[in-house]
Formats: sequence, C-alpha cells, structure tokens
Amino acid sequence: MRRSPAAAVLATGLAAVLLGCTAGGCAQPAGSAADESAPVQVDTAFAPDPPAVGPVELAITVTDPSGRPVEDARVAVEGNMNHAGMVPVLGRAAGGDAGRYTVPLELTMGGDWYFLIAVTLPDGGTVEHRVDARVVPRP
Amino acid sequence: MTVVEPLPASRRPAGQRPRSAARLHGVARDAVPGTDLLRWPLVGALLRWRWARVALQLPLLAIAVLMVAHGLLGPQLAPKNLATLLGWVHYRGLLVLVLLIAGNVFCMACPFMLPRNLLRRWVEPRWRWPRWLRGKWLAIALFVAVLFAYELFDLWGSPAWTAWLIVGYFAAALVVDGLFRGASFCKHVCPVGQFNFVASTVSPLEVRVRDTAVCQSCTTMDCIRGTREGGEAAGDAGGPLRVTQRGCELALFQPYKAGNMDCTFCLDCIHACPHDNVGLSARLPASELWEDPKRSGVGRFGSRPDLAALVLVFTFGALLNAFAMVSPVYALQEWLAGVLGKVTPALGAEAPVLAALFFAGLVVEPVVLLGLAAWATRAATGQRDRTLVELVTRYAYALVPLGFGVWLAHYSFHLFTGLWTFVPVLQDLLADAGLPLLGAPDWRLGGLTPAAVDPLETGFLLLGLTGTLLVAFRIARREHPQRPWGAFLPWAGLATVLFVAALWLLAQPMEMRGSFLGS
Repeated sequence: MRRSPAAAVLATGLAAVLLGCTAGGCAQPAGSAADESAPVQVDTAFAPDPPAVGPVELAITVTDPSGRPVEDARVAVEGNMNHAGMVPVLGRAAGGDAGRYTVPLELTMGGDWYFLIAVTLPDGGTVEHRVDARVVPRP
Repeated sequence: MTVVEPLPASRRPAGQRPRSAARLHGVARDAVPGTDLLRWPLVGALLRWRWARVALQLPLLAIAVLMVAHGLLGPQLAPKNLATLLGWVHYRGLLVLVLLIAGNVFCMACPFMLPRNLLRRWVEPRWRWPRWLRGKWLAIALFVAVLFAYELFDLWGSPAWTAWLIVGYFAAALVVDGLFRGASFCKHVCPVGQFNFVASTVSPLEVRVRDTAVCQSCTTMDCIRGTREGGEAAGDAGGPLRVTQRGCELALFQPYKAGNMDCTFCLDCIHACPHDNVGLSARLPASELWEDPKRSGVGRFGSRPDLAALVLVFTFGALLNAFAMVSPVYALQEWLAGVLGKVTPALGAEAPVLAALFFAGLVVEPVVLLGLAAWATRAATGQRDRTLVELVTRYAYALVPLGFGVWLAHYSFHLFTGLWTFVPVLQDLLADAGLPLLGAPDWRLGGLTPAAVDPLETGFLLLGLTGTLLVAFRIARREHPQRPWGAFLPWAGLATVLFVAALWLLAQPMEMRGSFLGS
C-alpha cells in the first residue's frame, strides 16, 4: 500500500497536535498558600473535618507575626468547586474573639473545593488566603 | 467496506456530462412534506442564504477567541474563567440538547472551519487522505485520548490548558485540511465531530433529497462535485479554476446518502444543487440505525466494525465519564492505586489507575457484555453462519440512543445547574477591563437545583432506553425475521443492564471531583 509522505508525518504527528495540547493540562490551577510576606498568619480548620455536604463551620484564626491574635478584623469566605458551573457559597464573620473567626457555610455538593478567604485588618489592610478541601458526602 | 467516493472531476462543460444519476438506484427517500426547514419562513431564508454557515460560525469564532484569551490571560480558577465555564458547561450542554431537538448544528456552525476555509482560498491541498488512515480508527483513538486526558489532567479545572486545547483544534484543522483534500479533518480526525456524527443519528433533522425523481434525471451531480468558475465541476482533482461552490467534502452523494452519519450540516450540497432538490427535513429519529443500506461515503453499518467500535466508545464512554464524577470512584481508584502501585511503582498511581479503568470500561466491559449478547442471539436464532463479531457489529448501533441518553443526562445536569454562572464571570471580565457595562458581578446567579434536574436526567435515560429497545427490536426483525424475539431479548437484557448502571450512577452522591487521586 502506497503512503504519501504527508500522511506518514501526519499519522505520527496528529495525535501530538491534539494530545500535546491536552497533555499539558497536568498543571494545576494556581494554588495559594499563605503569603509569607503577609502581615498576619491565617490558620483554618473545618468542623466537621473533613468537611461534609451540608452545614459546616470554617474556623479561621488570624495572628500577627509575633503570634498574638488579631481581633476586630472582617473575614469573608467564598467557596467554589474546582469544576466550573456551580454557584459559590459565601460566608462572613467579624469580631474575632482571641483572633478566631467562625464562618458558617452551606456546602452544596461533594467533591473538590477551594475556599478564598479575604481578611480585612483593623488598619484597612487586606490579606487573601486559599484553602483547598475535599468535601465528602454526609454520613 | 464499500464507499462511494466523489466522482473525478471532469473538464466537460456543464450539462454535457454523459453520466446521470438516473441509472443509480439511490437509497434516498423523499422528504416528509411540510417538514423541510428550508421552506419555512425566516429559518428557510436564513439557511438558503449563501453566507448562512459563515453567519453561524462567526459568533462561535468570536466566543472561541474570547475563551482562548480569557483562558490564557484571565483568572486561573475554573468557575471564574470563560474558557472552562463555557467550554465544559455551556458548550457541551447546548451541544447535546441541540442534537436532541434538531441535528448536527454545532458542526454546521463549527468555528474551526473558518480559518481553514480562508486558507483554502489561496492554498489548495495536494494530497488525498491516505487509504490506510480511512475509517474511524484514528478518530476513535483521538476520541479516547481526549477523554483520557480530560480525566488525567483535570482539564475542566484548567483554564489555560482548555484554551490551548481550543487552539490545538484550530491548528489541527488547519494542518490536516491544508494538506489533504476534502473535509479530511471532519471525517477522519475530529473527536468532537465523531461524537456529533454518532449522536446525530438520533436527531430529528436530516439533510436529504426532496424528490428522488429529480436526482434520477440529474446529469451534473453538483451536490458532490461542486462547481468552479465558468460552470466547471469542482470535483477533487484540482485545477486552476477557483471553486465557486463546494460539493460535499465528506463524500456523501445525495442520491445515496442515508442518515446523518458523517454529515456536518455544512449546507454545501444544498447550495450546490442546481435543482434546489436538497432540503433539511424531519425524519423518525434513530431510524437510520436499524436500516442498513449501502450509504454514500459510509457503506453499510453492518460492514463497518470501526463505526461500531466508535459507537461503543460513545456509549461506554458516556458511562465512564459519568462514573468518574460519583463518590464510589474514589474508593475504586484508591484500591487500584494500592494494587498497581506495588506493580508499577515507577509510573506513579495516576496514569496506570486511569488506564486500568479505561481498559475495563472501554474494552473489557463491551467485549464481555456484547459478546455474551451476540452469543445468546446466535444460540436463540440458530444462525451458526454468522460470527459473533458480525452480530456485534450489526447490533452495536442499537446502543446509540442509550449512550446519548447518558451524555444528555450528564451534560444537561451541568448546563441547567450552572446556566447563569457565566453572567457574573462576564460582569467580572468587563469590570476588570474598565467597562462595567453589566454592573457588579452577582456571584449568586446559578441555575436549577440538582434536585430539580434529577427528573430530567431520569427522563433522558428512559428516553434513551426506549430508543435502544426499539432499534434493537427493529434490527432483530430485519436480521432474524424467523425468530426476532429470540434475537432481540439478549440485547434488551444488555440495554437494561446498562440502563440500571446509569440509574445507579445518577443515584450516587455526585462529586464534582477535580483532582485525580487528590493530586
């Protein structure tokens, strides 16, 4: 069977054209750990842990570089699934006794989520923090 | 495989060609009166317009450019980027719904063809698509590869790589159709096109001859040859004269064309026919699956194991793709990772586990289930002269409606639950660009609740099961007229098993998982 030169090139290269584009997708969306240069430290904990579908609480502890709690900040949380097409869940907290802010959230579905936490400090400065979590079905 | 290829171009003046369609006993049937969209007001006028396809392609091209730009330059968060949102939620959902209620409209409006057509104004491809690459095997490999890459690399969660995937499609269409004549990319390469070809076999609309008697007296056959300047046939032999109207580039000769397989709804045949004898008419959805005439550009379904394999990938791929989103898949993946991690520690867990799942879902499962059904049919009918492969090749097409039902249920879930989620993303994009024309982003905009979509999903699955049972019975009646029920029941059993599996999948806690094995 006679094969044209272009066909031979194409046969081996075609998959690379389409797959090369898809294979590069191994890069994950940019994750964000705590910014080391940030003026405060943000620590988080879910209750229940791991977070389950339904009502959960995200406890956010804000401390300054010396470890002292930061009170009177405002905290806003936006939870998104990492699959497009879902409405984000939003929550807020203020006050922060002993630097601890508890944000109630209603998680709508199991799967992989990321939570964007925006802390507005008493001096007006802002700090953003991202937490990834796998939400499990509620037992 | 017998395929009716385009006739070689002739340099004879129009009207003096000796060959006529009159001696060709085509398989086309007259269109159903009153259902031809080309005769409807407004819609008909639009579709008959010479630039109708371009008018549909331009908006999709603009959206594709926007998606690429936002995917590469916008926020790398899937729910907040138009590349991932429009690509994986809205495009796929609308695609299957339009296939359900109309036909292969997205191939008609395919933006990948615009730069390709522009290129062909100056560059005429030199080669024919090589014979050894004809058929669907390459396209099947690419279809599976895209499904595999989607799972392995979390494409739904990566705006940048979704954008590169779109760019890759444009580039592949340009390269393939820049080198090879006809619509080689659409017919032999494009994974999306193959999906659309299979799904459109259950669509209610079909490009078809209005009156077969007109074709029998036709001497020009412009519907497949096209025309060049001076009234010459365009054909596929090339020449110095510019093509003024393409004929069918997918080798579908209207008098022999039957059904939607390989038809991109490009409208070329409609514009080319000098007798205005090609329409866009309604038909009984899925009826082309039980009939098995020799089709132009396709051949007989029963003689096309590659097409049957494509149908099986389409059907079982639907289940696999849905399975990847439910809760139990985690446990299975982790168990497999534990087993394979001991066997192939150097490869890591992800690729081998996914490969094992794909092999089980797309090879082992179809071979076992369809093999059993074919064996039972042969035993029930006593037809020992037909091999299991022959029976599988013939009956596989009956699974299209059910497979399509699963795709419908899955993709419509994402579409309906996330229907309005593109609005705040667009608001955000415009605001970032300094043009807050749509106001501040309202991130609360969503769609229906998952609970509200559940009945719709079940309905789509039931519709698919009904279609599959109907097609399987009609095939059984045609292939085994002496014992149709004996031939049908094994396939009904298979369809029921797959339907129950799909229902079980829907009943599982849905998990929009993003990272394979938590990577």
